[in-house]
Amino acid sequence: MSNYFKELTINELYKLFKNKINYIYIAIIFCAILTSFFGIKMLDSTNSARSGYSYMLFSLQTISTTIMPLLLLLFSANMITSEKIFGTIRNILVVGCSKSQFLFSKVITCLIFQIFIMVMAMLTTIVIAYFNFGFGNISEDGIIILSCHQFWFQFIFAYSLLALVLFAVTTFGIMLSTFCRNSASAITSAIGIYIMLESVKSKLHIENLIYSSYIEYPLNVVSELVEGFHAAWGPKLLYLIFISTLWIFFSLSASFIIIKKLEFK
Amino acid sequence: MIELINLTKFFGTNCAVNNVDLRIEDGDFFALLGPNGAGKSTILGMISGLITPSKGYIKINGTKLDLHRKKSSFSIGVLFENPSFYEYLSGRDNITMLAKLKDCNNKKEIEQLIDTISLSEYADILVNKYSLGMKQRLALACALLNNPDILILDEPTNGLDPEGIHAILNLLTHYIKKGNKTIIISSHQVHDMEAICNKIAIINNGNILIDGMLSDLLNDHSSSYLLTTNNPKECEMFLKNQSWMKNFQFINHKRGLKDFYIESIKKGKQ
Repeated sequence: MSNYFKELTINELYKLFKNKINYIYIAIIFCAILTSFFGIKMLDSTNSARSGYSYMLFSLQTISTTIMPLLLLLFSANMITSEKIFGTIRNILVVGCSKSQFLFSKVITCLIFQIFIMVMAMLTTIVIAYFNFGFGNISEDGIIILSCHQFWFQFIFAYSLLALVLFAVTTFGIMLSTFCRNSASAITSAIGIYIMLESVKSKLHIENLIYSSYIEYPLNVVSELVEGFHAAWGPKLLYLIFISTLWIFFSLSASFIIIKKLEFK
Repeated sequence: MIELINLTKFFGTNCAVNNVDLRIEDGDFFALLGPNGAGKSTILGMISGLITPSKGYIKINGTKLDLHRKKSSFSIGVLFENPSFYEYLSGRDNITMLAKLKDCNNKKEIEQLIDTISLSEYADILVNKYSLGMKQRLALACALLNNPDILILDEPTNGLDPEGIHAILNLLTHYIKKGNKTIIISSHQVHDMEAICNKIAIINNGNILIDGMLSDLLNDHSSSYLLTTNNPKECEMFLKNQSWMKNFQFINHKRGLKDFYIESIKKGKQ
């Protein structure tokens, strides 16, 4: 008996590699990084070591709080609806793959794509920051307030937390793609709900319950450290982990229940 | 052997398939005939495991289908009506991906299949450049992966020109000669099926009207006809008044035309 899940995931990754639209997503991320680079260059010409960190954090924060969630929503919201519209899902299910194997191969592919664009964005900003601004210990009046080593440790931790929040965005998109009839409605509702939640969360005092409220937090903490503030991870860190995990669990469970009930004629 | 026992399917309140009982033996070339919307695709969908029956069950070689779906899906090849593929991939990529899922890693077999369906020249072209006929042939190649014992074909000749229909039916005739293979084919083109099938069933509104060996049916129902009229009321009145009439049934209504299935008692009185 074939290992459906493994083969399905390999197939999904191959499709990811072959589909031109994904290269457009990657190009958008690159453009955003370069735009932020030229923006910083125009505003700050000191080329100090501290600017290298600032540039990197500023660029990543701009991308990961605006463009990246939208791109991930676009990507994930189209994942299952496209298979439903074209009927390609029938070819997969008829060979004996279960709907849950199909769903989780999609989730894994989305996660891999998310990690790929996050790592790509990070490496690009690091390279640009290193060659244009340089890195080093962060010191003030000759006193080291954050060593290079300490910075990278804090940064990787913060970036991993950001990945958790963005994965909540991705799974939310997958959930919408399970019950929307076509790609346009999935993408419109995904982005519509995202924007709606952003605009009403403070008025309804539900910020703490919405994963997007935590999207800026991890890199904000590191930025404050770099700027010399005595910042530390507060209880918001636990909220971030709890709320994001809850959303991931809710989205995946809902997707699982919906896809189990669907019939593909 | 495939057995359909009391098979019923509801979509909401609409009964698509109603208490269907069928028995298809190994080596049968079985045609499911009927107008559009009769329930053919739903029955094939249930046999291929895509649609769950509302009532009744299917047995393949004595085993209930829902219990051993994985096992049975390895011996079933399916061709859907309007075959669909990943348009941004080539024909070869599409078939290779399905082959991996079917545990068919033999590249030679894949190449042979591509060759059989005469797509070798176009195998590396993106599917979005394929014509409907090419897609049908590619779908047939996908269905034939792993040399399945049961082949389910939902309107495989739909939208094809006479040459394309002939090529596909020829291929199927050769396939069934290869071994003890069972082919279930749905169509509304009675003439094409008559030439290749040994067993048929006629379905309408989810009900099986007649089923059995084609040769027996041709003898028993040699005085059965499908009458299409654009004046159904007058036709119905006429049929009612005929003494030779055994039975007639309205079966379809499409674009202003009505079909009547007629059985007369005396041959030649039609």
